Amino acid sequence: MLIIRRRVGERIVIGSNIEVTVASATKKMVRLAIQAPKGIPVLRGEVHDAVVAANVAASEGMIELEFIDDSSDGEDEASEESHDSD
Amino acid sequence: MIRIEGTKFGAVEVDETAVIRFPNGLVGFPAETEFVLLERSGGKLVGYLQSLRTPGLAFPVMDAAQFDGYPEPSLSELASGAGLPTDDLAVLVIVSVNPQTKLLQANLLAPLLVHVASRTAAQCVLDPQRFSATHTLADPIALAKARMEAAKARLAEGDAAAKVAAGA
Repeated sequence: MLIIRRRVGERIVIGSNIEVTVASATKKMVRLAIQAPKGIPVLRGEVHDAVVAANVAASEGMIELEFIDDSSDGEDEASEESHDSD
Repeated sequence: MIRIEGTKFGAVEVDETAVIRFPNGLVGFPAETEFVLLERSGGKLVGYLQSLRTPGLAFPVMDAAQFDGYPEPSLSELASGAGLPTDDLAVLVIVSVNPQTKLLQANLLAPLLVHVASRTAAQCVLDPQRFSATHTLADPIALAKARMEAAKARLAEGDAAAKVAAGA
């Protein structure tokens, strides 16, 4: 991992089209100004992680979902099936 | 036709023209750039976004049109930020089951924008202060009441099969 010291107002450039400028800094917090092309998402790390977790969970719980989706919305189908079994 | 073996739905055949491309993949799945929508009838789901690259990977999705005033900012703004054309867009949200409540929940934080004509898409991330990745789709009390009413109605009909189901 690359670690760089920067002063307020200084920039780093990632690739040819992403720029990160240190806008301000205190002892506990830095404010970064980020310029990236459209289509390159810039996310806070914890938000990114939350979306990854939601995506992973959704792709893993599918069988259960099939069942719950049917029972929550398919009342008509369920009663038809019970008649068929008579 | 493209044939995908070993999906959660068995072998699936889809037309090449049905492929939806996510140039940047999904968040956390950057290599998953090609999907097809396997449609599903009944229930709230539109279907499953099935990966072409990974047969075992699919995401259940529903149409976001039912959520009033969603998404925010406007579709065209989001599309422009995601590098998509700003017209002819559809919005899907990924659905999952809440492990505690067992209710359906939708990921409103990160909708899927699909440019219908070009079948190009992107997963956008909205304001986390406003939208949840685990938005519950049904009020649990309303849902429980609805189920109880349905069970009562079936019992009143004297349907033996329904009695078993309601008792379970």
